[in-house]
Amino acid sequence: MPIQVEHLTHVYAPGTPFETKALDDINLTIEDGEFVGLIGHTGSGKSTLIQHLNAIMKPTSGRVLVDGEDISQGVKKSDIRKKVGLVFQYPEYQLFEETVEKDVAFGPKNLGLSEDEIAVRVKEALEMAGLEEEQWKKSPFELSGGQKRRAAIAGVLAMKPKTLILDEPAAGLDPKGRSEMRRMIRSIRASGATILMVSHSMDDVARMCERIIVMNHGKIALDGRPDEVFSEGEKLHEMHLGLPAAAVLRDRLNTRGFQIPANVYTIEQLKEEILKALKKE
Amino acid sequence: MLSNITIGQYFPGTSFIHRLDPRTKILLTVMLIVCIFVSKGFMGFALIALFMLFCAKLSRISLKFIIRGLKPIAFIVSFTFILNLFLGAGTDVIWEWGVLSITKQGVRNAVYMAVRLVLLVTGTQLLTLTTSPIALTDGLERLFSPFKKIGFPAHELAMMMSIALRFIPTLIEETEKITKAQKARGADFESGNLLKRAKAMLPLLIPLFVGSFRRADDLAMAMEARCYRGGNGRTKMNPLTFAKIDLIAAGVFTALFAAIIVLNIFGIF
Repeated sequence: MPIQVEHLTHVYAPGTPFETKALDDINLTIEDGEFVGLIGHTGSGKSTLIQHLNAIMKPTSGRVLVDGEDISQGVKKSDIRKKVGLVFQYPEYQLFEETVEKDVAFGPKNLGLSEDEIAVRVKEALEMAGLEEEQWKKSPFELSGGQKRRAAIAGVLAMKPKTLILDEPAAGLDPKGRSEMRRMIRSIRASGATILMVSHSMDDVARMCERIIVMNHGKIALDGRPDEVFSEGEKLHEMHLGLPAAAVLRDRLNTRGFQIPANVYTIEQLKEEILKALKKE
Repeated sequence: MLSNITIGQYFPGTSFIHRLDPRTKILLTVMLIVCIFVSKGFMGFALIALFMLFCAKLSRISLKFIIRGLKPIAFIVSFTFILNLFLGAGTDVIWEWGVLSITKQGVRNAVYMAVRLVLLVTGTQLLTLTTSPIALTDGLERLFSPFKKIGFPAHELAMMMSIALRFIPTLIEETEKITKAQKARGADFESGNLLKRAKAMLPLLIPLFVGSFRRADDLAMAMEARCYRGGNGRTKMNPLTFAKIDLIAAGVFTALFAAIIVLNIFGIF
């Protein structure tokens, strides 16, 4: 079942001089099985929005429906968190147990599952995270930065959410860590989960997502397929957002006389287009 | 919830009180505390309260804000009040129920202690609200520097204090973040008995500790990278200097102190 957001508004510190409208009448539906990228300038409301999707934050007005149920009314919190997993930015700072295994087991334990079920889920999650078995018994604090991050995400995966929300999963990782993170996200994707990923990296979003939502000043500015969104270079620029490297190159080539269609945004497509154009000459 | 704590917060401004030298403000706050303790009766308290009101007006900080800062101590105040109410010595019994009894002296004592606590916190609040943490530690360092000769680590203490103050907001923010993250993993901080709740705090406290150590490490490294070697030979960008307003403030406070003494001597309670 989808996640539906209806007229969602959130105001921080209402009635004080610090009052700010972080979300302004957001309407949105995320269908099952979608891989959605959420982008926007710092302070555009991305983090506030995702925290509403599993009831960590309460709407000032409007509502969020998960599986058709309004999650701010009468629904058990643990039920929502089972359905919608939220991984915050720098999730490695939430690790606390003696071993990686135990830490990953924290979530499922809170759901009140049986020991056997927990063991199975922990194993699955750690395998998806690409962590070697010898690391499972280690203290999470002994792992490398990228491994810690993946272990922390495994902690949310072990709750088997149907929808996984990732807030900047690759922020601050080295290139190797980034590529391992992408591999992990792809295998989560392959398991059939719906994914909503917040990212600052246009290249990551372009490479992985099927739908992109652009937020600006607490509103949804653009919402569509990557080729639709990345053909709006001007608009994105006005919102202090960039384009994927391939789209930047596309625009530069076009100013020098090429005629590459505006919906080209990946390296592969661009290569084809350039070859086509050169052959014509 | 945590961000509602206003005690110890700095409220930027350019009022008369804000512009006073931090040393003056620290010393005068100490003097105010002495006044509160010396005063024997409610007349003295009334005078001090009136004076504080005057200072608050002068600092242009809204009274609402100051009163909100008293919230965290509401429990201690009521606890002291109740304790004094029932345990007060004296013979003028007003109300009795089994072993519990309230005496006239007890009531007086309870009110006296409660007022005293509120005044103490309000007075010190006026200091922290109008003085930035940096100015505060700067002032303390200067005040304690004469004791360096007998081995008192004035600079180190001031540095530790400013670091501690600097990290309070960071820690609050971090606590909120980790609380949310663990909640997202199904952690429950709100229900269960005391033992269960204390146990539930572990997933919050451990990351917080680990984070603090990591920050301390980073900070030590950053300080060393900038050649920090303790206070010897360090100069200030803004050296503290006393001005005319400090003299005026000191004069006003001395008058208040004298008034309290006079009230005490003449027995006006």
